This record gives sequence, C-alpha cells and structure tokens, in this order.
Amino acid sequence: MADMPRPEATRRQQITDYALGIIHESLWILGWCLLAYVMAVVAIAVFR
Amino acid sequence: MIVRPRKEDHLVIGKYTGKVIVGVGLLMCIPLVTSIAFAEWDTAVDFIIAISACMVFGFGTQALCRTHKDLSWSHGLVVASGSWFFATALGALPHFLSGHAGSYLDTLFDVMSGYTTTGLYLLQDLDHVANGLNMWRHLLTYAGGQGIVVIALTFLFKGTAGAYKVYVGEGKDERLLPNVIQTARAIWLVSLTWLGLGTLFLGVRGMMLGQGPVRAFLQGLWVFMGAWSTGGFAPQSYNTFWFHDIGYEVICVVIFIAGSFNFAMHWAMWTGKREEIRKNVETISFFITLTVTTLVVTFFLAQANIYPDAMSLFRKVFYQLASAHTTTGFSTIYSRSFVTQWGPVGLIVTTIAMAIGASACSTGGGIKGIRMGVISKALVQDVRRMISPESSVIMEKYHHIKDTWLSDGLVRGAMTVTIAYLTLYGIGAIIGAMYGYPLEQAAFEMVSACSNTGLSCGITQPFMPDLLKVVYTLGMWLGRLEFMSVFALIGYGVAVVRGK
Amino acid sequence: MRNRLVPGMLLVTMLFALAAAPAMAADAPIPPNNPTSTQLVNTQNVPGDITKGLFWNGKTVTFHGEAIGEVMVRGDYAWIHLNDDAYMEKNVEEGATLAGYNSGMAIWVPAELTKQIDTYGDYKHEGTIVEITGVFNAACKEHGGDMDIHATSLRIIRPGHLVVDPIAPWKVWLALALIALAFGLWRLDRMTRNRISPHRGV
Repeated sequence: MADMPRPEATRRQQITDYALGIIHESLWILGWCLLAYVMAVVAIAVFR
Repeated sequence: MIVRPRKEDHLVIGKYTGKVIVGVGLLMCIPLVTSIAFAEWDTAVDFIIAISACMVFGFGTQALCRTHKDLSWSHGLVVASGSWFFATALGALPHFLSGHAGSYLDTLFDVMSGYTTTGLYLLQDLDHVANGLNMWRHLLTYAGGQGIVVIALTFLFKGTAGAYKVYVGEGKDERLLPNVIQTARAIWLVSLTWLGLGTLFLGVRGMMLGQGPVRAFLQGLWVFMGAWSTGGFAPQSYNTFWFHDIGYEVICVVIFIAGSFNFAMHWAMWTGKREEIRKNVETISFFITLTVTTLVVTFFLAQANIYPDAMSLFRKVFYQLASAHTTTGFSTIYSRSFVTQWGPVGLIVTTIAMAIGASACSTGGGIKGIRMGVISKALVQDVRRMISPESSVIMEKYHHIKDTWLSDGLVRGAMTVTIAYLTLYGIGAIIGAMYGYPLEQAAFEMVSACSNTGLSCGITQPFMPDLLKVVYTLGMWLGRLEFMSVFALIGYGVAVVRGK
Repeated sequence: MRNRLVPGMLLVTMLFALAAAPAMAADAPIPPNNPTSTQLVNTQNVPGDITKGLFWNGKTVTFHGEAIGEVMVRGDYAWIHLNDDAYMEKNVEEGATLAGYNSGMAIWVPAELTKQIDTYGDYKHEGTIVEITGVFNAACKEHGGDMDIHATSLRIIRPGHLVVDPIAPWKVWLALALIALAFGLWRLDRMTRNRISPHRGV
C-alpha cells in the first residue's frame, strides 16, 4: 500500500485551503466592488 | 382524508422542540456574562429569568415527551417552525423585562426580526440600552443566521436521519458533508472563522476612527454579527452611519456580501474549488442584478443631483443597494431619506433588489439567486425550444457546486416558491396601503420584512398599527423558513382538530 | 443693630437666591430645537419641491441634544452625535416615558471644543446636553454625502449624570422561583430518562 499522508500535513493543507478560500472570496468581492465603482463613475460622467 | 396525528407524533415533536429551547437558554448565557462583566445588574437578573424560563420549558417538555421514535419529514418541518415560535416567545423576555419595549407584541416583532436576520426593530431608546441586551440582540441574528436548528444539531441532537429533516425544515437543504451533523459543524467552522477575522478588522478600524478599545471591539463584534448574518441590527440608533468612514463601510460590505453566499459555496472555496465563486449560478445572478440595480439608481440620483459628487453618490447608492440585495439592512442614510432624497424610483429599484435577495442556504432571504438563475435559464430554454425544429431536444444546465440539468420539476419548484414570495409581498403591500401609506412605501416595507432585509423607509415605528406589526412578523417568519415548515405547522394543527 | 439687620437680611436673601437659581433653572424644561432633528432628516432634496426642499441645506442652524455614545476624534476635528429626542433629559432606566425611537444629528466639530463634554449617554449615563451652531448639510461633500452639521461653536446647557437602574424586588423573587423550578424539572428529566432506558441515551 502506498504511504498514507501524514495527518499533520493534511491538517496543515486544510488550514491553508481555508485561508486561501477566505482570501479569494474577499479579493473577489473587493475587486467586483471596484468594478462597480468604475462603471458607476463612467455612467455618471456620461449621463450628467 | 386527513389523518389525525397520534400521541407518538406529539411526543416526538415536543421532545425535539424542547431540545432546541434548551439550546436557546444556553445561548442566553453569553449576554448574561456580558451584563455581569459590565456590572449591569438589573439586566443580568432579566437574563437569569429568561434562561430559567427556557430551561423550564425545555426540560419540562423533554420530561413529558418521552419517546424513542425518530423524526419523519412532517415532524421535522413542524419542529423547525414550532421551535422558532417558542424560541421567539421566550427570547422576547429580556427585551420585555428591560423596559424599552412598548408591548409584548413589540418584543415578539424584535426577536422574530433577530432570528430571521431581518433587522427591523421596535425597541425604544436604543442608544441607552444595556450592553447585555445589545449582545442578545446581535447574538439573535448570528444564531438565527446559522439557524437555531443548526445550533441545536451541533450540540444537542444525535446524528439521526430525523435530524436532517429538521435541518431542511429550517430552509436549508445543502449537504456540505455526508452527515448532517458534520454539515452543521462545517457551517460553524466557516462562520466562526469569519467571526474572528471580521471582529478583528472592524475593531482595529474602530480604534483608528477614535473609538476606545472596549467599545471598538464590542461594537466590532456586534457589527460583524449584524453583517455576516445579513441581519442589520447595529448597536446605535444611527446604524452603520455612526462611523462616517469609507474603510468601515468597505469592511462591512465584504462581510455582508460574503455572509449572503451559500454555505456550500463557502465550503467549496475552502476545500480547493476556488473557481466556484465565478462559476456558480447564484453569484453570477447576484452580481448581475446588483450591478444593474446600482447603475439604474445611480442614473436617477445623478440626474436629481442629490449627492454632491460621484464618490458620495456611489458610496451611498452602492452601500444601500448591496445592503438591500444581500438582505442585510445596514444603512448609512436615515430611513426617511429613502423617501425624501431617493424618491419613488430609488425606492422601487431598492425594493426589487430586496425582493430578489441573496443566495440559498445562506443567512440571507428573498426569492434567492438560485431561483432567479433557474427561472432565467428556463426562459432561455423555452425560447430555444420555440425557435428550434420540433424534433430537436433542447436542454439547459446550470452550475451550482456541480452541473445540473434543468428539469421541469426543478423549474416548477422554483416558480412555486417565487410565486409564494411575490404573493406575500403583494398582500402586505396592499395591507400597508389600506392603512394610508403610499403604495411604493408600503411595498418597500413589506418586501423588506419578508425578504428579511430590514431597511425601513419610515413606516416601521413603535406606534404603527398593531395589525401591521403582526403582518410583518408573520411575513418575516414565512420568508425565512420559506413557507413549507410554517404550512406544515398549520397543517399539523388542522389535522389535530379535523383529522380522523 | 437695626441698621445692620435689614441689609444683612437682604444679603442673605440674595445669596440664597443665587444659590437656588441654578437648581431651579435645572428643573426648567429645555425648549425644543427649531429645526428638530426630525425636521432636518425630512429635508427634501428633490429639486422642484420648494415647500420643504433645500430649506435648511447650507444654512446655519443652532441645534442642541444629548451627547450620545462617545466622541470620535479624527485629527483636529471630531464626530459627536446629539440626540434631541424624548430621552434627552432622562432615559428609560430613570423612568422616561416611552415615546418612540431615538432621533438626532451627527455633528462634525473642532476636537478642542468637545473637551468640555464630560459625559456621553449610554445605559449607565445620561449624557451632557450640548448646544452647537453650525452649517447643516443634507449631503455633505466632505463626508461622502452624509447628512451632518459642521459646528463652529459649542456650549454646555446641562452636564450629564450617572444613571442607576434599580433591580425590582419582584424580579429577584421570580428569578429564584424559576431557577428552582428549572432545576427540579432537570432532575425529573434525568431521572425519568434513566428509568426508561438506563443504557440508551438520546
């Protein structure tokens, strides 16, 4: 049987995954807010 | 023929409802400790009374309702809505004993608003309320966002098949993990991690803004709970307008948008599937409708020259609309400003954003992104079928964690619940209009209650008509539990009376 | 002797009046704001509506209220919030009648002036009643469209005080009775559970 993964590595991998997940979500939300800001500014400039 | 429930059915329902209420009592220990820490003795006694009352109910029903029978689907739904009913009645005791409530009905409204993560409130003189009571108000939204049943599942239920049925009865049906207890714990892991990080960010920002450390972190915790649960309660009567800071607003927006996402999506992002956020039908639907509503309101308010510059305009419009669409209910404008500054178009578009709501299996409310996605795809499918040769087979699919083909049954389920929401919105709007409120304001307020948003345009007041308070309370409850479990509770009652 | 009696009595009376006057003035009700915070919040900003529209926007107003919560100092200036609602002089714990929500305005004021405010309102405090004069903005350009007042002067109308929320004796009795009942039912629950199924728990 192939070597079983060490439990600590799996746990560390899990925590890394969790952290990357949160960071990804937050950056995605922030990025999209910025996009919305740019769209709004353009819309205001065009329609005012 | 309606089959009358037998004694065994009453016992099962009673036993599990009792367990959930014991959980509520245990939860109240947190505000009790808070009151003691701040030497708020009268408030501490209020909580001792409330905790004891919960324990009397919980242990009493468990002692009376002895059974080994497991829950069936109908039991699960009845337990979910029944325990919400008793949790509200008992959870209202601290509010009532504080002296800040006009009546017991007002406290029921407030506590239902808390559990359903709505955020409308009738509590008076909020700016002089004890820290213990404020802790309870915000904890209600955090617990309600998770689901009172999810809390009980984590700590008090064994992992039976019946447990899943109560979980579904509370309006969630995502299985993050094979076992429902594991699913509940995964939901907790996500929420508690965000709690730690969110409170830290908000507390630090609060201190940078001139708040003392205790207030900064205490309010940071409360604002986090209000944001993540998409509840909308805040510690001061000024809501998040108190902070007057774009940094604080940005942190709140990130937290409440994240809080409005499906827990299954969080779990996917946390377990390596990081493309899920851009492929998921709910997030795509949400971002499209939020962008469209923001641009429409921006256009009208820019023409009306309400705000002095583009940045102010965007800050106000985007914050309010993101708050509405995620069904959070935080605001950085006064309630009446929706009427006096935003006008009818701003009001109506915000109402639409609230009506659509957040993602399924999240802390948010409304019709929900997945149904918007399913219905849109169904429309596309029907159009394609019409223009294609008769013999061709047209199928659409959508992506939600995994790819799913659109079946007629799926579309029908989505449409039925959507129609139920729209009917509820309509009934409440008309009742509000009958009391003399302008229709667009009455619609705004009812949609805010039923989608569990909590923004107000000024109708919700301690002195508003009692019937309207009852209508909004029931609307919040029906909206949060997505109708089925409340109907099951009513059906159970009918069966007891009229069954054979 | 008689020459000193009358002036002496007059002096005593005057001193007594001087001492009593602040105490008597403290009981005099504070007149309402004009405009009140509710009126300011209802400032229409929609062009074309001239009845209420833009009436106070950009104008200098005098506003007073209870200083609530805290002062947030940001550089040379600070934010305070003044509530001119029904709880301005007494809060609920002191017996104020319930009369609706809080209502007030956000004030942007030079930080130096806020040092006079000794008490901010919360559960245990009734805040200092403060009067400010400043320019009202329905949508402030400097503060991202916030509705606020930029104050240029500040004076104290009435200092704040500590509030004690007394514990009603009936609450203590009720609490004790319920604790006893809850404990009793918990014991009953445990006992009947063991009797029905000593080895299986649910």
